[in-house]
Amino acid sequence: MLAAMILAQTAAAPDFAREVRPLLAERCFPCHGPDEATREAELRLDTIEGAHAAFVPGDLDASEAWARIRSEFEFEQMPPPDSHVAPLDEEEQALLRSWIEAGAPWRTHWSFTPPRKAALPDRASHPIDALVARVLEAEGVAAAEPAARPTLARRLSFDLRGLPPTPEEVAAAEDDAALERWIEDMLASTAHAERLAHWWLDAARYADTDGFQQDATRQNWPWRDWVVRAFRENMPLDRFTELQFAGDLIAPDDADAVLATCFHRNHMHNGEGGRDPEESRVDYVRDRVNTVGAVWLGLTLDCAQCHDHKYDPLSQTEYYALSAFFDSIDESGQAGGSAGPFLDYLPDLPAAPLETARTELEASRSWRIRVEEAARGPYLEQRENAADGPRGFLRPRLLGAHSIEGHELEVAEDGVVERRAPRSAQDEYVVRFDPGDLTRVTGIEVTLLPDEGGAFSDAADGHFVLTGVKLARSGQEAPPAGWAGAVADAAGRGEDREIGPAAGALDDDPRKGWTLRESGWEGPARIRLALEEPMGVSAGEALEVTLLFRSNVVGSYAKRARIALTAEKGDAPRTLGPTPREALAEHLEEAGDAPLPDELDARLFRQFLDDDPAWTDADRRVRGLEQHVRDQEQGRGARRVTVLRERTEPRTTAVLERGVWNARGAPVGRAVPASIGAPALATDAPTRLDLARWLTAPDHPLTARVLVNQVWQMLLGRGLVDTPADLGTQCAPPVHEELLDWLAADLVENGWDLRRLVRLIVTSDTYRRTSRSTEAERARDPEGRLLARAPRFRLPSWMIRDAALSASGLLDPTTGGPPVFPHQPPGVWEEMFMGRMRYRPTVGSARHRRSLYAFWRRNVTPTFFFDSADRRTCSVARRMTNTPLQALTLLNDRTFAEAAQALGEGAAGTPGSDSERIQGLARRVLSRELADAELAAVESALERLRSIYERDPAAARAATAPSPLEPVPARSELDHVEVASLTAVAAMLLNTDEAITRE
Amino acid sequence: MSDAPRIDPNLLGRRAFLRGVGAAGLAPLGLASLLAREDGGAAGLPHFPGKVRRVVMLTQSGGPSQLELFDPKPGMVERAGEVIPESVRRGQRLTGMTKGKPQLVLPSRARFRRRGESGIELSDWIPHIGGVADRIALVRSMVTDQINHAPAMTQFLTGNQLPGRPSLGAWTSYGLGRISDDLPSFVVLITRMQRGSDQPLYDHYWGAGALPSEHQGVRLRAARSPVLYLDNPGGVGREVRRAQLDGIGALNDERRELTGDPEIEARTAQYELAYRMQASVPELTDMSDESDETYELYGPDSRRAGSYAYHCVLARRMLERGVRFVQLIHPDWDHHSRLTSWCRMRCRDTDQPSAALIRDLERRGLLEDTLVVWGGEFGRSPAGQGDWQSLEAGRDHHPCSFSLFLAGAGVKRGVVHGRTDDYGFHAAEDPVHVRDLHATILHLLGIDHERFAIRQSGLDVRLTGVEPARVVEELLA
Repeated sequence: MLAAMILAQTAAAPDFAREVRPLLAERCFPCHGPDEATREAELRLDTIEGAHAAFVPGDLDASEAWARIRSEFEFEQMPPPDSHVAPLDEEEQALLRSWIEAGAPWRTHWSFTPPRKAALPDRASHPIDALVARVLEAEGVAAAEPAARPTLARRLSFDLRGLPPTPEEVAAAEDDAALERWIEDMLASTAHAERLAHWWLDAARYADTDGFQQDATRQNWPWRDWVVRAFRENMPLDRFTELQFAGDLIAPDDADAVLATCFHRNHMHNGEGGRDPEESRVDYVRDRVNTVGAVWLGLTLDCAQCHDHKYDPLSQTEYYALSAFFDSIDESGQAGGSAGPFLDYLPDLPAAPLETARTELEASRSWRIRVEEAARGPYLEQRENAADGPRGFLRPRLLGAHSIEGHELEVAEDGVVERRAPRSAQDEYVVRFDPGDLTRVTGIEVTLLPDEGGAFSDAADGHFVLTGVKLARSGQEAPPAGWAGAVADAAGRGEDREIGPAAGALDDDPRKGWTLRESGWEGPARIRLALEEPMGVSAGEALEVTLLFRSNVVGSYAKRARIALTAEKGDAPRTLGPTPREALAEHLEEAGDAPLPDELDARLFRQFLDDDPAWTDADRRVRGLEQHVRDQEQGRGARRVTVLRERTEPRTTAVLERGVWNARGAPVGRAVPASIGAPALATDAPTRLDLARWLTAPDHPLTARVLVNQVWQMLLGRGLVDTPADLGTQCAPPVHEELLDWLAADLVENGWDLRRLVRLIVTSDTYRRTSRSTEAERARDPEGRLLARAPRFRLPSWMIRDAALSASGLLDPTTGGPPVFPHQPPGVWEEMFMGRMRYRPTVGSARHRRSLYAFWRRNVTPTFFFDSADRRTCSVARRMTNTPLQALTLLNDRTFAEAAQALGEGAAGTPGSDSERIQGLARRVLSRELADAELAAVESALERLRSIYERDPAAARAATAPSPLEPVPARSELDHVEVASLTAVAAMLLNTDEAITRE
Repeated sequence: MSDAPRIDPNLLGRRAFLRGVGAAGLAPLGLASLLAREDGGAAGLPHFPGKVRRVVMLTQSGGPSQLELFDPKPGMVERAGEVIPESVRRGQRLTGMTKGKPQLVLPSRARFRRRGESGIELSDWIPHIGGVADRIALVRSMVTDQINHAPAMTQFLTGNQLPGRPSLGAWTSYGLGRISDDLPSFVVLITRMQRGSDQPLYDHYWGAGALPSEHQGVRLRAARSPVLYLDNPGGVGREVRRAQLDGIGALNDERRELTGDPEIEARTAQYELAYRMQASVPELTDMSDESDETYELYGPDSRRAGSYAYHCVLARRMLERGVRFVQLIHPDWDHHSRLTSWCRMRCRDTDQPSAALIRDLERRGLLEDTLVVWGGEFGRSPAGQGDWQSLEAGRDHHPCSFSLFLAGAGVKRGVVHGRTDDYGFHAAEDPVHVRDLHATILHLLGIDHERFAIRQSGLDVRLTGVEPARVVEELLA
């Protein structure tokens, strides 16, 4: 078998570019390639001269390299056995042998010569199809049938707009002429521009925050809107490039031109405390170079950061010469508000979204007033008795107390915990108690008492330092409760400047604490801590409070302490005076039936509302919308966008030795790589504009190929070249090399017209083929590289989300403006930043805007975007994985649940039989009707779901509950069981493989 | 940057394989002969029989002070307040926080004593770790290249200071595959602190880089729903979900028939795994079956959900149930000030539970094939930060020397490896670079680090990178 293969290979001369060069690149170039520093024996095999010295054309015996490869002696073997490079196996040797015997034909790397159009046969109706047909014929593979029209309509709609077609659009697309008109409409639509913007934002590593430690929020979204506008007006890609590289040089007074340069400032900004800003600045400059490499040149320039490139003809000097174009930006390397240069850009936004937000806010406020009014009666009814319940701060029955460091603690009769003789430097006390009749705790009070001599502790100055307080269920697995705030009778100043205010006792940071030192306070002192959320208590359950005295002040643990609890809401745990109920009791005792003072009445009513779930729900909606309206209003003022601006005094760029930021070597001037087949620069003093023009020069070998490849990948799931960020020498010519070249040349010839390119692709038969395949076809071409059939691949997660919103009719099509915050599970930001940042989901219809407008925090990618580019560095490669976590996301994320519910309500509200309703859902979600077997499966699922919900009406009610993110919780009048069952069916359809797949 | 679509081709085969033997009952432990073949790892792996099947990494993020915990330097007391000579510092870089300030010796704030039969000197701040001194291999000569948190932690966990490379846990999961069919193979647990953190913990620390994303660490949250989206929407119970999945399965089968796309089966399988995880994860995190004795062993904090101690108990449960790699992270070791209060407090959080985990694994027989690693991204400087005489003094970051310990399968017990100079500044003998540590861990797993690579952006990416790395044979039992 092996012998036969070798024979077969000997017969035909191997393809140098496809087979030989990649082999040499992998096994030889590391020591005999472009990198001068690692080059051995002054032998270079990446040039024709060097290669033909080592591999003599047609003469195996004279080929020294061949002899070394074949040698049995370790000392002369190639690759050397200790080099970690694998030796050539028999097949590879046979390949090399036949290449040498055939005269060692040499060809410049395929992507380093300008693309040319291959001649097309006269009868060619479509250039793409003609060129693909050539390959298919050579391979002896037949092209697949065209896709069914509804499939094609769905494919076009996803590829061009990132949205599914409406049932009407699917029906209309049956007509050929209507289909072509529809394509034109889509190409001109904003939705198409938004779809393209997703591609570009990934490439541009766009995000709404800086990244790194501080991860400060930025205001660069006007640039995102600029990208959408540019695509919408089909700005030529050369112009698009020039503006993003040098808008400030082209038209310094044109805000939109300057805005475009934000592309090169979208990288992360590092504000870490000990960071040298210059190190960060160097990182930013290199990030720009690497981004240019991946997005325009398709070269892994970053490999030349520390040393010459191992495979491609790129020296480290050339790398830094390229970096010189970006090295003189007037920037300091700092982050956040110091990350200039900034452009104060005034966005031009339509009025409607803000109007909608304000209307929704008004609606939610009216709703809150209604709830408040409805609560007034019950409030008044119980007001007189309010003083009877548990009021104020109550001392619980203590069950015991112990110290962590081994102090003896004694529980005295009045609930005071007393410490015996001091033993260690620090301590913490754990006090267990029975909360008695209380069914919840909303806050606690700790009183620290001095001894007869006035000393609170055994510290030299007699003062305590309380560094933390924890409240938890005793012996239970529950996190300690979170505190909302603390107030104390007095606060002093510690010798350690971090110690003083009551807030120091809120967390377990031992550097911060509460003390009375220097406050002048004498006698018992109280601190009250309010819980973020009330802690419910079951009968008989014990709680424990831990008092932490962990400061570096020796002996500053309390001598005597006492605990009290309150169950009152409202302002009770946040003030030191009488709680509302205490005040009421006092009033009743002193004034009897006299009317309540207004202030007390207001406190009591607020306390009552705080306990009314309907009111707190309404209040949360109002506050959510207030935040949203505020964001929208602020977004209409000038935004500070990071942009490019040259320094007056340019920096001297140097090669950085080993890539170390401050190891400055020889100075370099601005220059472009010389050995990749690209034209030279026309000027001696080039600017960023010249760099952009060089990239888009008509005979540049790489840019057009690279961009065409990205567009092809965007539309067909896989690029003509598999590695969109690397068309360098490691990359074998693609199967459809002529096609890539033809499209690249055509793009340049036609003024870099992106829309023309997209149109060309989607009007080809190649694009329109079916994605179905037989086992034999898949065995012949598992990945569909030959393009005999269309690809079938899962949609990107952002598109799945937009599709669900669109199919359910929930999508808010508003374009542009400040980002919104779609729902994500609570606590995700808080966990990442340990509470420093809090995610507040948008309330109102704007939460259903397209994914493009979702706020993107770099350190915490929105949870619903699985598999997305990480937006930390540029990304042009697609990611496509399949994990159980994705299934959980699509099944359980609230946005998808809301989409399913909207579909369920729609179906339940439409008259008709089960099968008619199911087909209606299928038309919206899958753009087609179900076949008989499928319909039967769904009908039986619906029956099953209905019987579950009939047995469990509470579940049906829960499944049909209004979203907490609506301005007003309006409940549907429809039958809950029907809506719940159809909602579950809709969720089922949304989660079929087909629903999330481009077919 | 990834280049090709990534779908796990082994998934179905592996599941079918496990189902086939499932009748015998896949107990969480035992069945070594079966599990030794456990499937799913990368082709040709392990390279040789490894002693370690499971890893628990007790990551102390921020840079624990080796001088207060592991590396006694009594001579520093006499030199207190002296400038650290340039002959010792040898031009070592400083962070922006102490740059330009005199580097004055701050002697250890803690007392050390010999522990166990091995007599390893350890600090009084970690008495429980002292109690297991005879079970650990302490390295006092760790070195790294990075001086700031994010790059150093990225290097410590992924082998490269730049984000985006596969993490150690992901490599392990990729190399050796899954043990349990119902749980992710790589799980991350982050201690929940009451105070706001100074450094975020980036998800690339446990990322998969260019490896298939199923190998990325699944972070269990300290929330009621420990995995994102684990809970069904309101009104969707287990029965409803089952009905939905049956419907999805039926429709997917039809589609598979029609389109011929085998990927559809993988999709259905992932939905089923998600369904099983909805049962297995709550069972895992429901600790009500743990005895009081366990909580006493791990210390009082172990009853509090989200604490480091609680996570140590949880880690043991995961290792028992077949999680391959558990990564705990305690996020608060960046002690630029107030060592006596702050650093000591963090010792209290971690000392007893870390030691308890080693004891607990040992008595359950799990330590025979589990590796425990305790350490952070770098150490702390022998020079004081702030007034060295004040109690407010702390220490700045220090990459030139730090300490770390290993325990468990394949590792020597009760030994110290490496030595630092008299100032504790540089590793003076037997330096162990982070990549050497990685090579050693991979070796224990049965993997030759030089042959363990994946293609990324046209390069062969290895955990140990391009610089030479060495397996630290001296640590191996």
